[in-house]
Amino acid sequence: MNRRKPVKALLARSRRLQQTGRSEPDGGLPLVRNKPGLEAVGVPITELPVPEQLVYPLLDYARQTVQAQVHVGESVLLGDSIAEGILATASGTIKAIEHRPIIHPSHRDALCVVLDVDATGDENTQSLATSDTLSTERLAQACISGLGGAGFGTALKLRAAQNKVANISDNSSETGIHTLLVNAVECEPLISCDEALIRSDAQTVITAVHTMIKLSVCQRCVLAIEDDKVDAIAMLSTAIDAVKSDTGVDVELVKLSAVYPSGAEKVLVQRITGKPLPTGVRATELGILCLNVATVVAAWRAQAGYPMISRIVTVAGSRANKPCNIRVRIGTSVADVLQSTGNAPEADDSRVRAGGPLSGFDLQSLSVPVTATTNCIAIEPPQSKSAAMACIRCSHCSEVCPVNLVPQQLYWYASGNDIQQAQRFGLDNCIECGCCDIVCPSSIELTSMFRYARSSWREQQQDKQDADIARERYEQRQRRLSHREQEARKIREEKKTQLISSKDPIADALARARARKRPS
Amino acid sequence: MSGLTVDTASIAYKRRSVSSIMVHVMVALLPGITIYALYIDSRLLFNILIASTCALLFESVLVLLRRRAVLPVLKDASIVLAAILLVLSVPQSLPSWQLVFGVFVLCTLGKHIFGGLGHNPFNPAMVAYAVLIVSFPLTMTQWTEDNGLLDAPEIIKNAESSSVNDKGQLTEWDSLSGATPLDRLDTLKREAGISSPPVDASLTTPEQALSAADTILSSDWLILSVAWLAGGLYLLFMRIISWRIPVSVLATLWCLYALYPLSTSTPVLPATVALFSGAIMLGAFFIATDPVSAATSDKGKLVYGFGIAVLCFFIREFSAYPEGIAFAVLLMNMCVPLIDHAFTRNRFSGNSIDDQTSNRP
Repeated sequence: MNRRKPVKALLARSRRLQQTGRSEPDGGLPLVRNKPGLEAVGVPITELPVPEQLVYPLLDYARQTVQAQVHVGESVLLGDSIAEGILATASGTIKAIEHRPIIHPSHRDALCVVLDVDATGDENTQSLATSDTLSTERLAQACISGLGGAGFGTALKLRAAQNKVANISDNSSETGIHTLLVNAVECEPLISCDEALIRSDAQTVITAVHTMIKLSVCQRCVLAIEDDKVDAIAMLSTAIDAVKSDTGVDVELVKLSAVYPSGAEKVLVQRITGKPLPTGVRATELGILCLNVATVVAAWRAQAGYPMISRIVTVAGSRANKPCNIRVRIGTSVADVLQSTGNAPEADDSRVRAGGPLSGFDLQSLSVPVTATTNCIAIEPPQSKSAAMACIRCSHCSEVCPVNLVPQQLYWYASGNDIQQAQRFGLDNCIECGCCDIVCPSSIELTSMFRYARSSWREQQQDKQDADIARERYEQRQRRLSHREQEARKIREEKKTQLISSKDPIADALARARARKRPS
Repeated sequence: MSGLTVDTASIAYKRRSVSSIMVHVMVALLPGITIYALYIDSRLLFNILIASTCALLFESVLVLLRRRAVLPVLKDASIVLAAILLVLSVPQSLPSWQLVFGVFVLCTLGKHIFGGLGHNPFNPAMVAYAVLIVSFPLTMTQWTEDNGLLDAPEIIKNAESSSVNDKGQLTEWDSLSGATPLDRLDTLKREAGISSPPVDASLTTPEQALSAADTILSSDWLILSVAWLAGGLYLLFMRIISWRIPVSVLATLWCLYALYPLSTSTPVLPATVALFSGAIMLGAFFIATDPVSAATSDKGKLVYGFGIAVLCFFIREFSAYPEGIAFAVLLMNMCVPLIDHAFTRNRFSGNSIDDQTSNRP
């Protein structure tokens, strides 16, 4: 034993020396725990005062425009539907439906509904009837959507899982959902909204999980959390013992070693089941329902009739004066959040990021509204500009890539705009976690390049699709025209042949002329 | 836009820069350089000085010609490292003008003709070495000029023609010239191939192999190899290089040397000793691992190392050149795009591209 110790110490030192270059078996980075916004255990999360104006981008989870169901001047009540999947999170009058900046990596505008608030209501404003059991319809009514990453509608997810795609379930005898995977991993530095939720009330979390088990009729339920969240784990295990359930499914608390980005669905499924998700296959298609812990709690509240009108947002970063976790009404602008929490950037050159330090992106305007997926607002100082150097193919990036891509190869193709080839090397699998960015010795901004390549690929596909449709339309029109032309010609020809086939053409012509003359 | 700085980069974490990687490699070379200068040839230090200065000079000019900012390019220190590696692979007796020519080739043909750091398909130091060895075969194979008793042409003539079969002559060479053990082994081998008939090969081979091993083990070159190994372990420890390439090179060479005696009558080094002969350690840890020109995928690295070892073995054993690392590395550099193409698979794609798109709902 004694002899092995120095070796172990040496290896540990090697890891510490190269903190950002350690290669985990599954990739990823063991980042130092940094969660400055957490309150003491058991303290409830404060609510941010509702601002005078709320803004709702008319976009769904896939950033497709949805149709507004309200018109300007209409007054709405808290919980009323504004568009499919979007609720009014306070009562008031619709002031405008116009283009406004939204939270988007390319700083895009989108059509937004602007609501002038006159009655704020509160978290416990019931807009739906209390029901005994949670149903998928209720989830849709309460507009429950994923509070973790992509903001996928929870009802949609559940339905997709329940009618699993046939081609996958063919090989397996099971149907429906076999595992409910509750994601409380929250692996990115700074972000602590889920942990704050658990620390404020772990019993509720477990009760909510049991409700979800009942709804999804799963055989197994895994609650995944990082092992460095000591208090939260202790509270959860006490709560698991305390909360009784009649479903017969126990909540398994799985502690994962703190490696970023274990919380990403793709990576989490791999770490829990040991099997990677094939490209283009969602976890639901394999019978795994993966939900964020905050989403589960929101769903549970929906059963009691509370629609999802707010989410917990972490405000943190090295330029944040008062890092905190705060419950924010969806639609509140980032500027309001920063102002009310006393974190308005003082220095003129701060970077304000939506999302974490790695996976997030900088905002160009603070007037953008908080959406269901805004888990963190980070205020950071500007970076000392080190110009990106040439890639030396050191392959640190592929060592840390949690989905086993070769980022430098992808970068090569993406920067040469050969997106087809980049796709072959798995561009679509990139989860934009940012691990490659922060280990690159040449300071190459890989993630933003991949983000660009993917969106331009999507645009290309869209353009191609549009062009195909246009071409088809044109070809059909051409076919129609030529068909019509042929028909006309055929009639003409027939007439002609009739004329020619008569025995005495001259007499016929004279007869026709006479027939024409007669009426006058 | 009120006072926001927008950046596409993620928040800065402590990271290792390219120049710090290069400096780490130079630190890893230090023990070897020290031993080389102390026990073998102190002209090494002078040559390193000349080569690095010229390298920096040539690179500045080339970067200026390419209209880029000079300082950031010089700061990454990669050209100095390449120059040092070149000096370590040539005889220290090489005339300075030839060395400077080599450095010039390194900067131009090796590096900037392809677009500078990160774009060169071949290891620049090995490109320069290859050009030097075909341009100046005499001075490039003359590992000493201690005294005028023996001049290079004669050594080569002797070695090439294998006319000298006398063992006494060989030992005399040893005492006089101090040529590298590999050169001597080469000669020894040729001589054995001619003098010993296949019948009594079983008798002579182990004996000769042993004496060859002795030659290696008793020389300062062994200590040097150990120093390179130590440097390589430092690089592994600091996680600058991955274990795959050096381990694959060394393991393959060991196997080849272990199996070789079964098929030949010529004296062969014991496998473990062979690994410490010549430039194998330097090559396996410092030259084959050059990230720019090596394979990058995990399996690709193993294949790349295997290829280098096999080529190196064949060049060493069956060609006129005593050492094969340089050409083996260059030949394998050529195969890198193919290797990377073949071995870059991503774990998440079970299906082919066409299936993937049709799978999506």
